[in-house]
Amino acid sequence: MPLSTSEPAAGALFVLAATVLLLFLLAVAFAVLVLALRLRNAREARRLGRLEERWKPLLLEVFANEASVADLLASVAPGEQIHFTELVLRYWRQLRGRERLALGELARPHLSLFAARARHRREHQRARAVQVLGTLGLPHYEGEVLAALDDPSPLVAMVAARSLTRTGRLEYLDPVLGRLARFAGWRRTYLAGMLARTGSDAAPALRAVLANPEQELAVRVVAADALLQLSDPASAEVAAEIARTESNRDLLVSCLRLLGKVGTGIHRSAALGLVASPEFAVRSQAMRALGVLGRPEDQPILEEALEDPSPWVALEAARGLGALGGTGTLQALARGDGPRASLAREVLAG
Amino acid sequence: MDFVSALPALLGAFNILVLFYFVALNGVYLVTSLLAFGALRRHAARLSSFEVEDTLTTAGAPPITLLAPAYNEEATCVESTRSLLTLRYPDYLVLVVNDGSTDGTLERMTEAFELEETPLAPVAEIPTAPVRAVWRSRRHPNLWLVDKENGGKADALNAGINYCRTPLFCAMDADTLLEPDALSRIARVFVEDVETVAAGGIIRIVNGCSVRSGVVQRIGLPRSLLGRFQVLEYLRAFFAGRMGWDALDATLVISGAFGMFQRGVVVEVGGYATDTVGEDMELVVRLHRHCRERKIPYKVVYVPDPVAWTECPESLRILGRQRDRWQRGLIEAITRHSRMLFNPRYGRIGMLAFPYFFFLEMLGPVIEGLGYGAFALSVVTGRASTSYVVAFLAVAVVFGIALSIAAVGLEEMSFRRYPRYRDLLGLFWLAVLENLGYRQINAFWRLRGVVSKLRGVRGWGRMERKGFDVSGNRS
Repeated sequence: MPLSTSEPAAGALFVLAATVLLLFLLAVAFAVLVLALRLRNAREARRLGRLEERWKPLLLEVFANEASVADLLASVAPGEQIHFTELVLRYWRQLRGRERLALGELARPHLSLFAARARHRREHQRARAVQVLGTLGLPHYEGEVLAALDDPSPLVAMVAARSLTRTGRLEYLDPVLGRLARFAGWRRTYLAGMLARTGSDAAPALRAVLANPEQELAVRVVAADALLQLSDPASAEVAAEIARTESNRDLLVSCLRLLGKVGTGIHRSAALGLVASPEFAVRSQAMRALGVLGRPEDQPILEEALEDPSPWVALEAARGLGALGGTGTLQALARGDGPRASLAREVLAG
Repeated sequence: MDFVSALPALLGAFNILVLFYFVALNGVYLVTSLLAFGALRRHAARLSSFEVEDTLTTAGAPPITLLAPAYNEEATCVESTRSLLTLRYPDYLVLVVNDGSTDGTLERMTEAFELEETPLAPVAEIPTAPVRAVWRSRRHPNLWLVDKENGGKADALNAGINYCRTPLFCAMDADTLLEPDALSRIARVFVEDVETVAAGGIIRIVNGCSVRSGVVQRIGLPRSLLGRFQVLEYLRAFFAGRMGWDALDATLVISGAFGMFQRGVVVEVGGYATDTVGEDMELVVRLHRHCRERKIPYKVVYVPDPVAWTECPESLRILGRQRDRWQRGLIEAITRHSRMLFNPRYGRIGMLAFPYFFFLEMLGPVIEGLGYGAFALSVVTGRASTSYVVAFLAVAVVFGIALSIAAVGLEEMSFRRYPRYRDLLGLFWLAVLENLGYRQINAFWRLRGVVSKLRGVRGWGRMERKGFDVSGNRS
């Protein structure tokens, strides 16, 4: 009991005093370490700053055709290559056209260093290397970037997939689609955005994935979302067929959303078949699609849906009514003070 | 046995309790600091491996609604909103909720952003005080304002959630300044893992920094000592505390000043609780409980790189009120979900984080306060050795200093926001100085918070804002 005696045991007191001393030394050591870290960081920042000051004027001269690529490369010492390439990468993101070509030439001699790093034991080193190779080194280093799709780290694989799809080259789409299941934990709209960057040429492959019941559901959903982003009219038929035959909620939602964007009147029945789905997310997308694809005689379905317990379904139904000419119903609703009056006012206000 | 004869035994027992509390508290701080060290290193390495903004400035970035509740914020609301409109994120809305302000908040907003009344239907039905009107800016189509009757911050947030149509929302204070890339950085964890239901970023103190067009231009320490103590305190809380708990996968607190949530899950749990002053922590605890009880895979995370800047109180009176409220909020969140305590059903939350917050954060001020009393009584009655008292206090102080310096080290290792040597050395000095009164008064405020809670005190207490230094000079 350390504090309840007026005659302390010398041993216990010694332990406390030693603890104080130890902790004091620890605090001093921390402070020294932090200061050393600050000095090192400041020194490194100064060094990098000096390098950039040396390279930037030359870089501008290269862009202005006042200096050659070789002139600038000659100013990069062996230990400075990595940092030089990082600088090039920064500029590459901000510039387009002829400047980008020049930047590609400037980076090329140093990319072999990154190719070696793509096999580094540390995940983040590999990811960074693949990022550099995927941005500045394609198609020359496509073997390394394609191999990174199978990297044990999902982060590295994702960096590779993003780099490949960013090129917009169709030949990279299949390898990425084939590994899409690896990214199951990622947000689907994000993956869809990545695939859509390949452009409308990717649509046939994406349609094939969407239509294939052997594919994983999550992959088919991503394909549907990518087709939505591409506004691919030819995918409406596939989406309608899925809406008629499949039952997975996420797949139905994506296909109905796709139908709502690219479908036509002939796909109306696909939406109609799902307006009574037990899932509110499916019902709301069915209402949305019906608003686009439906006919005036569908108005009673939409009117009934205004009372749906889900505000999302009611909102889409109100929008649908507005689109199908049911403004009379909406005006009557807007005049009242019922729970859905604000929906009607919003839709009527456009 | 009468009280007088029992006193020595009682004092002895209590002193053991205090000693145990001290060892446990500092042990936890030490462990979380060590864990934070490893976690920050991993985080920094991960961030260096790819460009965050490049990842999220393309199609597919999840749309976000920023919810900024405002109550009598006429001094800062325009500047804060302007800052929110300049964020670098491809798809977001700003939804300010005017919570029945009695000052010129609505007028200032209407004038500055050319707001006009626009019909908008709610898409969730969390009960709130009546909404008077919804406004939209003519100049900024992504700026909305919900004008409602006063109901408190949680009620305002719930109203905002009712009108939120994006899968993610970001809850913040009206006077919070987000760094331009803060949304991209915090949204990253929701993109990389769909199981993430909530994430919190770091809160830094804006006092002493210069702000232009809603963006922090130059970072510095506040002029007042009280403000400076809080800078150190926040560094310790966010780097050594939250980062360490996150490494244990046991994040229980996301600051109300800056947190992002999956809208659907928050609606499912009924939104923010309006009958507590700790609505931010209570929501996070409830999310844990909801997901664990239903066996829903989920993650609640802390991310150290998205930064929100907030104004800290620089008067003892206001700071005391804030800490009193924080303590009451903590007690309310913890006692409301006390069944989670040591309940293996709630995993690490029930077995690690909850006991820490229950015994060391909630009951801590009581033990500490009574401990000071027992200490004094022991000295007065001659039952304490002066050497022991001095040695024990020295251990406590030096341990505290070491942990504070370690937190400054974590900052230096990762984000280096205070680039001047003067500020760095100032933080070291503060680590020593805060033991000479600031920590004790903080303990007193927390104890007062416990007493306030027991007395049934409710409400937030008035907070005063000075506004940001927009002159381009240091304040």
